[in-house]
Amino acid sequence: MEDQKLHLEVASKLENLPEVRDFIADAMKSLGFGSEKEIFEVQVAVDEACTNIMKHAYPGTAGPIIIDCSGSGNEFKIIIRDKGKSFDPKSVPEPDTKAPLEKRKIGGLGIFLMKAYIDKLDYTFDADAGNELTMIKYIGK
Amino acid sequence: MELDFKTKRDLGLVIVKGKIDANTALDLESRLNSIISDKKFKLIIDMKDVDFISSAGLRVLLAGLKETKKNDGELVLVGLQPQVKEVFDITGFTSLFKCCSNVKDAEKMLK
Repeated sequence: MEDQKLHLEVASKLENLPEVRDFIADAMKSLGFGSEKEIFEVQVAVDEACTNIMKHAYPGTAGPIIIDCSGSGNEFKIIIRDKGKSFDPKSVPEPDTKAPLEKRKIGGLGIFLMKAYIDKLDYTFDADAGNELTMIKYIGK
Repeated sequence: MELDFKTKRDLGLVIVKGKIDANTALDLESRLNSIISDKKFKLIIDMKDVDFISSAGLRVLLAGLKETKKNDGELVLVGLQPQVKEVFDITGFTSLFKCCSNVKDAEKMLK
């Protein structure tokens, strides 16, 4: 049986983003999931989620980010946990992607990309357990 | 991510290779800022060897475009790979940037 690494814990530092993206690619491949395009899309979404945690959840420190992946049928699930400040990505307003250059705001695109590339996004916060973001991507739709 | 910079008359050519994420975008941002503060406002960014971009990279490119335009310049992107192009398409960036497939065409656009 192929060696499956479906759990990752990293410190919330931006230089760990490549490790997160490699982990996602390896997890999807070991579960037999995804074309290069789908792997890229999940990598973008998870990269954006982790970037948010790294920038905002643990101000001044680098707490842990814990990622667990699983697969069932055509469903690839990623759960990202941290114990930093609460932050619901679903609460961020959508950027106007049709605005002309002079009115185009710099920012808000990370969450937008996450929503574009992931089919189901769920967020919970618990004072003890911290933030939990669940992402589901339907593969081969 | 690797960065290289060349000048040709009033044009600046930035060659980016690798992945532009929230960490590496900081290097790209400081390089673009220093080029723009040297009063180079006609810029070509060769991205044919960029195979990943996140919103942090988009932000830096958008800031660069706004800054060059403000100074009657332009920023042209070269050789977007299909998945990077898709990120541009869904965020509406394709309509903001001039894009072409090679540096020669970009130079012509900036003449």
